[in-house]
Amino acid sequence: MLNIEQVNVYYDESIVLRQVDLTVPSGQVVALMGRNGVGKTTLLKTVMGLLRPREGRVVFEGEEITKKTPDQRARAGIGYVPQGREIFPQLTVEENLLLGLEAKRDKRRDIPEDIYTMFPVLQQMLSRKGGDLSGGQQQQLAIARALVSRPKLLILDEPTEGIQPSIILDIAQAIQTIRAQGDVSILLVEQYLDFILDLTDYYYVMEKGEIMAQGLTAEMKEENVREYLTF
Amino acid sequence: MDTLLLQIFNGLSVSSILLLIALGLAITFGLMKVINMAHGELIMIGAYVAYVTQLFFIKYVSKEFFSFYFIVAIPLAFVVSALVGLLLENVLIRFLYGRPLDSLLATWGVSLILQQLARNIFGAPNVDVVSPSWLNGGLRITAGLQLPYKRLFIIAMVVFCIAGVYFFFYHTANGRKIRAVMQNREMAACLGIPTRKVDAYTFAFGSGLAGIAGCTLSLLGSIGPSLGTYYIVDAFMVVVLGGVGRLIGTVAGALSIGILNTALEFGTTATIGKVLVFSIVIAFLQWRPLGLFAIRSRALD
Repeated sequence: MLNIEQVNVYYDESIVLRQVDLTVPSGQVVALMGRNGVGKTTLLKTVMGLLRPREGRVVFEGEEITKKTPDQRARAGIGYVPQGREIFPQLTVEENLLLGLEAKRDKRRDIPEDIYTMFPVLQQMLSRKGGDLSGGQQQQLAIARALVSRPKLLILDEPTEGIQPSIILDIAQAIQTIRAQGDVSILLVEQYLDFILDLTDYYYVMEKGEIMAQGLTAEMKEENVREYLTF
Repeated sequence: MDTLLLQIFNGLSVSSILLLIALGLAITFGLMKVINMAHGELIMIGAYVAYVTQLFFIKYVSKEFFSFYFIVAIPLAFVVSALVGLLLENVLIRFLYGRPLDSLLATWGVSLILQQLARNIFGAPNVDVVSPSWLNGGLRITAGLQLPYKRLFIIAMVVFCIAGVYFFFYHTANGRKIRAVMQNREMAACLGIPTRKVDAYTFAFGSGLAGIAGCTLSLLGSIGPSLGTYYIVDAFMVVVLGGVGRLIGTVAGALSIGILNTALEFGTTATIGKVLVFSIVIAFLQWRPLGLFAIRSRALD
């Protein structure tokens, strides 16, 4: 589904990602863990095309997309929920969702109903401005906006950051639902170990721009991973 | 009583002209943050489109239909100015996004080029556009008060343009895309919106509105290569006073400058009136630098 091969990313002259290899198999949920500032968001931005690697390749569904722009990647089937949610504050919830449909390959332009089953709160808020929503509601909106175009790969950047516990449960439930349906792969950046244990199939741990550990989540030894997560 | 009514009408009329010339700029400068000094020349292009359409009608269309040339000229002016805007965006502006000083100088150069081009094609002297006969005369309210049809037409034109812009931005998919790109370019791209294309079409749309303004204003007087320079300062003043990035602000800015201007001219002279208006606007902007309508949202915390 997604293969990142030997990717090096720089900000000016300082290297942020070193020789990173990462794979998201079809229909699976993959966690990417690590402390603040180790390069997790940088890696996601590289997948999305917001940053270009100096060396290495990004391959999506067998096709190299290293040189494609973010909008081309979105239309190819990558949905992105960035850190900080980045919903459009001056646009209504409905307009935010409709913009999510721009990445759709077919021309049908209505918001699928199952989004409201997943996040019922959005249906009541359709005509409200995105900027008037609480942080948790904005997070749900951002995930829904990425899902309406039916992406093949969903990228989530710290979806639980600064969110109240009840909404974290809703988000976990949503990921569980998507995982059970099995037609969308997920790459999930997370610092909160308990959140990923039940939700993911495979994990990677980063430190200083390199992958330090990886394996099946089911076989993960917590003490090995915690070493890279505690401060 | 007649004087008061006439003053109010004059104020509205001046406001409508200001709004017409500023509307395109509210998009290219207000939304896209491009300091486009060539906006006046896009207005000039619209005016010359009216002139050329008129020549064409005189030559090829029978006399009884001559008055309709204006109806043809308005959409044509939009298209021609929009195409010039599209070209300008593609060869110049797109390299200058986020560089206000550079774009100010570069577009000023473009403005000089376009003026000289107009001089070469149409000659330096001003040319006249004959107003269509159905716009001559006026609406008689009382014995001493007559409202010229031309002025009423300009007001109607502005209302039409505002409604069109509002509809386009808030009720069409393309308008929605434009607002998304202008609010958060990176995120819009990540949703699959081709931001380069949206930039180009937005700039062209703003330019096209300048063309409509020029075409409409050809009703008021003769047109010449330096037509745009008369309007450019007023246009920027309206957008800045209203608050950059807000359509409603531009409307409010045009109304306040227009009404203030006619009120202050009454009793003084046109020059003193203008000086007073600009002084008041500058003083106001010292007090509220973001203009009448500033964007506020909790989403940015």
